[in-house]
Amino acid sequence: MSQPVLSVRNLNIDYVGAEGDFHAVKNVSFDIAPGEFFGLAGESGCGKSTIAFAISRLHRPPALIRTGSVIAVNGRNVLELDDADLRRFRWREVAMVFQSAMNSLNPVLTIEAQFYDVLKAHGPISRAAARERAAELLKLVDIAPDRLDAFPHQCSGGMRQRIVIAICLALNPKLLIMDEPTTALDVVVQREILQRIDVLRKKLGFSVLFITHDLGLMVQVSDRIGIMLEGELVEVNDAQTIYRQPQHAYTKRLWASMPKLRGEQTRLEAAP
Amino acid sequence: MKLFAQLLQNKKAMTGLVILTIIILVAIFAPLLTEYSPVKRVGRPHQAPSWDHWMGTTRLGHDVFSRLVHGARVSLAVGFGAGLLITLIGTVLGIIAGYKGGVVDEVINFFTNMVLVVPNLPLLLVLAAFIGQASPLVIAIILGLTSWAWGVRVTRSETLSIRQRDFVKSAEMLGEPGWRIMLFEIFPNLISIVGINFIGSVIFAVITEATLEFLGLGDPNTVSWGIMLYNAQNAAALAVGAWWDILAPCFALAFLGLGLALINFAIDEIANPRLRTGGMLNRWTRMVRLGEGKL
Amino acid sequence: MSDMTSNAILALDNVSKVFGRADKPVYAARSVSFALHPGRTLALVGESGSGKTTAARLIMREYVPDEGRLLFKGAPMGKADAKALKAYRSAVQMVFQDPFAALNPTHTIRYHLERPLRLHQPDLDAAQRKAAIVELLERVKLDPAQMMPKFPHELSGGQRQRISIARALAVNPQVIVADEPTSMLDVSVRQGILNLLNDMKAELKLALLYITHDIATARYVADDIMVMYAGQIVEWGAVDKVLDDPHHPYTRLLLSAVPDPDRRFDDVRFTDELSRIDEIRTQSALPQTQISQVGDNHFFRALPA
Repeated sequence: MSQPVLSVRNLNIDYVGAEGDFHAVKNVSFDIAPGEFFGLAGESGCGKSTIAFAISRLHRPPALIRTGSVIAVNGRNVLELDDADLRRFRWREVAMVFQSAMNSLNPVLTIEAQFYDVLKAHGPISRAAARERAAELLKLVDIAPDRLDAFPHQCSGGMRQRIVIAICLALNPKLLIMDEPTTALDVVVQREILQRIDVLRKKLGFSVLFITHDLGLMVQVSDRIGIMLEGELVEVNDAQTIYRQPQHAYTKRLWASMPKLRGEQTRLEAAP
Repeated sequence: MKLFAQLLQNKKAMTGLVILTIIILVAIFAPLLTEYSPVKRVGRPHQAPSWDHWMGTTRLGHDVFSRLVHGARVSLAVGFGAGLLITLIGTVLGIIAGYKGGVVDEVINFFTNMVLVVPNLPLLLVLAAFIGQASPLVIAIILGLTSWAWGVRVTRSETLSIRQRDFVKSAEMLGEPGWRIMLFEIFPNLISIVGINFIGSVIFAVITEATLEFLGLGDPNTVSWGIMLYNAQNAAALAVGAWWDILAPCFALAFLGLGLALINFAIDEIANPRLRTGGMLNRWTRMVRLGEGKL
Repeated sequence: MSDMTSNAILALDNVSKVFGRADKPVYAARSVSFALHPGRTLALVGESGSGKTTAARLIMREYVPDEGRLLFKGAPMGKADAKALKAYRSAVQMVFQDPFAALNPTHTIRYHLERPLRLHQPDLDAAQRKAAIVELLERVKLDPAQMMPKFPHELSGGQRQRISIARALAVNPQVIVADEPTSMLDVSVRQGILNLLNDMKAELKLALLYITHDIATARYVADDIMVMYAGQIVEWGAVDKVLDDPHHPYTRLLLSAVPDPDRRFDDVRFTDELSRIDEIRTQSALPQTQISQVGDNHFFRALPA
């Protein structure tokens, strides 16, 4: 493929303890192509969120990204950026949506102020121009511009998450990381948001690294999927192949443990 | 129980406990540690520390070391006694207010606010002055009855948050009586807060007793660290160069405070695992410096 | 509504629960009626804010109905005396959503199972109680010797949930209300818990009310299903009938939005519903009093014309 938007090679991340270390991510390697929707699936503790945080270098001690790991975004190794470059890199090349929008939005600032904050941090811009750009971005996610003067608590959960997505897209990043963005939302709202992301992706051309434990959802939205188990990437393939012809025993077990909405009803046996 | 076992493994806790144990033992075995009586004139006034008098003498010729080790008894007794009373009242009222809610909560809050609003030290000064020469017992009781308000606040808000948890709902659905829920379901989850409250109250009581006595509101016939400070101040000890007269009780108070504070930090660390950085942070920094990894 | 007389052990009869001021009432539950029968599982499906938690609270008697009645074995609970209340408490038990908050971190597993036995079977002596605890643990497929001395933080989420179920079973209940019992568990652990609930229901002839937002699991465990929105039950009946042939627009919307690996976004069965989301939501929130019947166990509320 042409240069991948994200190229992860030999990623090893440990959580350092007083006595021993916990290996959260073990030698993980994968690529994401431009415009691709890549899903990272796994159960709690498998390391998928750890990887997401590492890409933007958001970790704090006791996390430690081992030497030898490479995280290349558009060809540049993120792990070697100094602080100034890192600030420029964040949000402009990679943006992140977290699980709870209420944690990402400042509760005492209006929506417009939050956009202004982000735009101003990455280059000189007048308040008026920022407001215009903010209205444009809100339109992308189907929110009326009168919401600019509202506070986060005045918006519903789904709306807040869409606002966060709009802020993420403010600087046209090439990669959007989404860590369980819809887990706390209703199924219908989830559907609306993901459909919107799909449309925007095709329009603006960014790639998505989508993290969730909901496998059915993942197959529905992703181009390719990686399955993680206890820090290792055990299977990577395109979505339909992972769904219909899973190779790894764990992937097969994950599928077997999902009740189906349609089709034959079989009694599922418990995992040992 | 589990908390105690963890305490014993924690360096801060161990140091604090050792300090506390030393002071307690000194207090218990005071008469064995010194041949002098703390209230008899056994030497010349303001003698510097020597082999005869390890910490010198006061202006009245009393042996400072003897007064110190005997005084420990009073300071500890008042400290722990008042501390216990403060914690008991605070915890009981806090749990009841937090669990019962409604009118009971309102009433308890009302009285708590009243007590909180009254400035503690001035109130104590007025009471002590009113009573005249307050003996340590009286001081302990006054402290106990006026300083519980903060404890109620803290305990009540912890109780409120525990009360929402499903296991309390489950106990209620099973038909557990209210008193059992407060005592056996909620209280065990409050142990570290109560422990910190207690130690904090002890520190407060020890210092405040010393303060009251230093200001002249105590019974001058008592042998306690506060009275030692009072006497030393009246004798203008520092001015005449008798530093041992004032430093001995100061150091003793500080030493006790240190021990208790260390225990408190340890309880806090154990209760809140996020504060337990210690060994991990050292290892992590070392690894980063060696170039084994980065953030 | 479905027949309330024949062997229904617990029922809500036209219950409404209102909050807010008199001039701006908010109906957390509006004219809710359903019945629980021994040996049958009823799934209550809805999104957050739909009223399913309110329904659970009404059954657990945390809330008192503002209109309508809660019936236990045919008798209204509003006028219950102390004896009837005690009987109710041991007959209706709940399994909670959060396995971490459902157990007291300062007590052993043995204590958790001992208390209900002490309260509801006071005639047992110590040896009989221990035997009962062992039996309960074996029932939920846990090793008694290993589990009894442990504290909750030493167990996994799935194990904790099994203890919660064991605790509920300790009082020999007749009804179990399971409020999103698997939503906080890992995917591979979930069906183990669902299977356990199913087995217990069949073995002990329990009436199970299974509350969830995950429709696919509802299909897996339930015999009957109710779909709830904005405090009203908008469609109900046998689970296969409702899910294969939904009539109410909200049910159709819900089913179209459920992630289905067999369809991509561009291939949609209920395109019509997905393009009218806001309209459907607004309409479904209006009071709908007219009930239409589709089959002998399939009903829905008709939208006002």
